[in-house]
Amino acid sequence: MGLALEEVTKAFEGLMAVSNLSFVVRPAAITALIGPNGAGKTTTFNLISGLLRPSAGRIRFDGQDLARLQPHQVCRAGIGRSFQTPQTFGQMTVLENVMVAAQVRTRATFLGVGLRLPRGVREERRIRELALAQLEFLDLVSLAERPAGTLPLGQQRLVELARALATEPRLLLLDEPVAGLNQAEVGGLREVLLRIRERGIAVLLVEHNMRFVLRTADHVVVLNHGQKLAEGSAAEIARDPRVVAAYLGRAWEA
Amino acid sequence: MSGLEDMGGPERAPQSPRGAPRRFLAPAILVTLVALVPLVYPQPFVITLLVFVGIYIIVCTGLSLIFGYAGQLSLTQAAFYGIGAYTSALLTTRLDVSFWLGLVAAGLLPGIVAALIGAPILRLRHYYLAMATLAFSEIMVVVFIQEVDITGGPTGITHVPSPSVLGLSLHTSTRYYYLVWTIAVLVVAFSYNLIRSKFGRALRAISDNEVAASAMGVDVARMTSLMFVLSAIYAGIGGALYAHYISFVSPDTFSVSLSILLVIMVAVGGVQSLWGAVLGAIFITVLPSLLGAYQQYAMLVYGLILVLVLMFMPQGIAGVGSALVGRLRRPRGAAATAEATR
Repeated sequence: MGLALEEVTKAFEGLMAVSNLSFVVRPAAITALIGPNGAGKTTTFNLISGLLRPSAGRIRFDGQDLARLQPHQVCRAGIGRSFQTPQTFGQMTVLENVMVAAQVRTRATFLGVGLRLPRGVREERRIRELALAQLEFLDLVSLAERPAGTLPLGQQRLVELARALATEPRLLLLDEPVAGLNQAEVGGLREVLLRIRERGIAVLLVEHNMRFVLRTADHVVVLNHGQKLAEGSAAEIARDPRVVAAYLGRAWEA
Repeated sequence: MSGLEDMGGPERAPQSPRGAPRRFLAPAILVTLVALVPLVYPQPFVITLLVFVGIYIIVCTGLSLIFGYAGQLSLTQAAFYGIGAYTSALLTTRLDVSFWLGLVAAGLLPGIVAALIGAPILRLRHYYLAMATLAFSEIMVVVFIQEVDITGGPTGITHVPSPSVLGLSLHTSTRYYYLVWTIAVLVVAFSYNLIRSKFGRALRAISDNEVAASAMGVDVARMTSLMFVLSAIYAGIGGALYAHYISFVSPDTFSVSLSILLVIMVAVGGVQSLWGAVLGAIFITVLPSLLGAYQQYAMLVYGLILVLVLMFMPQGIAGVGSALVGRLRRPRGAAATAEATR
């Protein structure tokens, strides 16, 4: 169960962005994907979430093959995601941003909604409640009516997280969730991720902040040049001489 | 005026605890206006003009959904309008089908055609989509002219009957006015409910950030094609109402220039709101009669207005209207925001 990449390869016109990559993301655990710039981390994310198709290999999520699904189908299969640079719906309010995500599994037809049949009205109320619950979870209720585009970076990241949670995922993909956050915000986000894990949701995150990764992740996968260099617990990774040589040493000092 | 702002854009209307009566206030005023106009202005000339305004409101509301909300420029609404007109005209004249059945068919057939052609052409974007819809429009004009056995060719179909409701014949303009405007109000209300719902939210999310929308589970292709189909259904209904009003259908009515005129209506009114479609349809339809002796320059004036609108008020008439209303209401703005938060 969980997410499994099986010998996944993605080539861009001869350039191997990801090559023969296999790893597993276990349910209710925080897995980190680390590696230097250009190691293929974001490509891996885009492969999982359906924005890119693998050149070879399989991506399975709870037994289902994701490789042929489109992004909205991957979302409906139970995978929510955030983006490296926040991609909120800038013109829409924070609440509406989250409501777009919260309506993913609703069923009212456009005929029923246009005629204002009770089901659509009830559904709309549930969408709003589900969205508000995420805002409460992340302490964003006071920003509910603000246009998302006007918020500072840190809060936009939280809006993205609320939005991803509102799709009621079993796996959350977070692309550099703490980049650009201050120390206090990083600490807050760590608490949030631990609570998300408690809810039984698996988290896969790409992150450069090693302090954060080693303190937060249950399992770490290290990429280098599109290939898996090492994987293991945070403690094992921190000790692994190959990882230290390729990547960690520099990051630790920085 | 509160309705103007409430419907004037994608932003949500305030939902106060007293929301229920307030929600019905603006529609009630509008419906009353629509009902009273023929009593105040009974001149046949005015009524005829208003019948056309009502028909164009129906068609423009659909165009607003696909063009304004889904962001896809369709230059083929005249073809759907034509398919609707021919469908209903043929069914009622050749097969003696009732007007109402004809009207339903006139909505369904363009909807089915839109679903079929939408699958391949809505993969296109921007100018390419506009060109593809333009091409389809031209093809349909050729079909209307060449399929003489079905469409009557260049002469078209004559003696399209007036409808009747419960034995009451709608052969007078005033009665027909009420038919057209009843349907127009229903179409606008239906569309308004749609854009205020999860569908409107999904459409706005798509136009804001398509990648993020699809990552949040919004099926972009399906939403776009849904709006295209709906716009075709509205156009078909409008076409049928047109055919039964002037009792005559011929191919030149449904040329691309009508599609372009419809786009002008929506653009001048304001693409960002349903109200824009309504206001644009009223303004552009009434304009030629205001020009009096200079009517032959109508196309020139349309062009000029379109250019000026695009340059100086890209939100259209509705945008200016809601900005004015917003300025007038600003002192109460804080209260409205508090209500909206609820």
